[in-house]
Amino acid sequence: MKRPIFNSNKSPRVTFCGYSIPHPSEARVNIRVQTTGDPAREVLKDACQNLMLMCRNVRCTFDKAVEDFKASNAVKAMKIDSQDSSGDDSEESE
Amino acid sequence: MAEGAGEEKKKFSIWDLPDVPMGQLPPHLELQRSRVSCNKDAPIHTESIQYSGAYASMGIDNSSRLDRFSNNFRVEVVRLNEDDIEFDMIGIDAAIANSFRRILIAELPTMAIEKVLIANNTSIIQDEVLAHRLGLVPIRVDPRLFDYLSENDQPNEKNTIVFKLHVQCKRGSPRITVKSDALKWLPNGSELVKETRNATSDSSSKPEIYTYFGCSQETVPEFVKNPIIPKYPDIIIAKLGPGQEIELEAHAVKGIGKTHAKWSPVATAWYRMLPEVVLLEDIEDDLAEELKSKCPVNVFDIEDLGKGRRRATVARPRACTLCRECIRGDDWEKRVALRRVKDHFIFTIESTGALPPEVLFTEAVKILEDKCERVITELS
Repeated sequence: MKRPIFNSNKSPRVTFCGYSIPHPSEARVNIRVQTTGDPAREVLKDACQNLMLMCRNVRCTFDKAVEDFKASNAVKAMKIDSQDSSGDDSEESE
Repeated sequence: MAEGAGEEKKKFSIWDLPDVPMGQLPPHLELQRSRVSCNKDAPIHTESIQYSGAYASMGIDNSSRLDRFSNNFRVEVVRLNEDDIEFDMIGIDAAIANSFRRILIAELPTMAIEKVLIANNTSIIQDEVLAHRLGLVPIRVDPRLFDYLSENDQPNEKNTIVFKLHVQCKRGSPRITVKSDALKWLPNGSELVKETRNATSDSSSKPEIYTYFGCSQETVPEFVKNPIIPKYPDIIIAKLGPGQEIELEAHAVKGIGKTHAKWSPVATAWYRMLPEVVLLEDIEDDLAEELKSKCPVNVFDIEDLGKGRRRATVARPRACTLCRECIRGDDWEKRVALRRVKDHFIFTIESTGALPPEVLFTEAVKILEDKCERVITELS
């Protein structure tokens, strides 16, 4: 997707980068990268590599956040249960 | 530093001025870089400053580095149910967030009914309409356990799921509604036989069948615990009057949303930027009451200052739907500023049932990684 384009834009080695889609019916994308001296292929590959590492980071952070949420919810559910059960002692249970 | 401002002839460096913080952007530029200002007519500063040398003259490095990203990036889950999830992604660029949303909608594979073999249909629903409706029924099965079926492959237990639907409305009984729980899973494959046009075929030749199941799908341990059924049993597929009958077999295969929307695993997935509502001046008494009553989602609240004076505060900026009611009318634009934080996204994913929503997001990130890998291997 076009994210590597923006990724490489952020790199200080790049003076110009852009993409264009000549026709929507055919799946072709023209990418242009212009650098300050380094070979453009390497810069693009580095940008893709950067994006991959970012994605892995996103995945780890997300998984951790979901686990923390589930754990904290489980704790909350137990607390509510214990409160309910102590409150129901005086009433008739169904 | 009054001396510096008074003497114009003496050259002074801009860094000597006390109000320019070193290494940070001045507040108005920081506002421009990190917030979208939603004015009455249109939002401004919507683009993200991509260029790495944008703030070079101020001494700020705008390039994005991986370590800065991993330090600043956070995810906070707000709500998590069986079917939907709402979470915040903070510190990410809009382009990546949009990539995730697009992959969730169009490129995550699911199983959906593709081929419908109709043996008998005397209902008023036409064959093709019935087949179209069956294709849209979401199936509760993990698509990662199956392979794609291409044109040259034979349908077998690794790439096809077979359902059977046989309903009949007897004469004299009232009309019946055919719901999706009438679809029965056939773990052993298709029961129909292909018609052979060959007049010379004799009974000793084996009849051709539609699917070649090597073993029953029931032997796979996941399906023993959770048999494959449509996710919602009460989806109306057809209605039958007395004397009408439907008998068909439906084959489900793996596909992605790009080909047809029936293969999209999300009801929908969307994100919005975190709204920020700022009161530019103190709003008191009657104006405060007016402001509070204007907002349809109760973003504002009144706090008592004592001695009967009240002041308006922003209580729930996250609920703001950007209806702009609070800046309608004269002068309100000077008092209330509506902004959006450019790198804080409130993501909501609603799953149709094949996979739980948090798994869907993880799979979408994996697909983006695979695409990057493919580009890297092609480039080398």
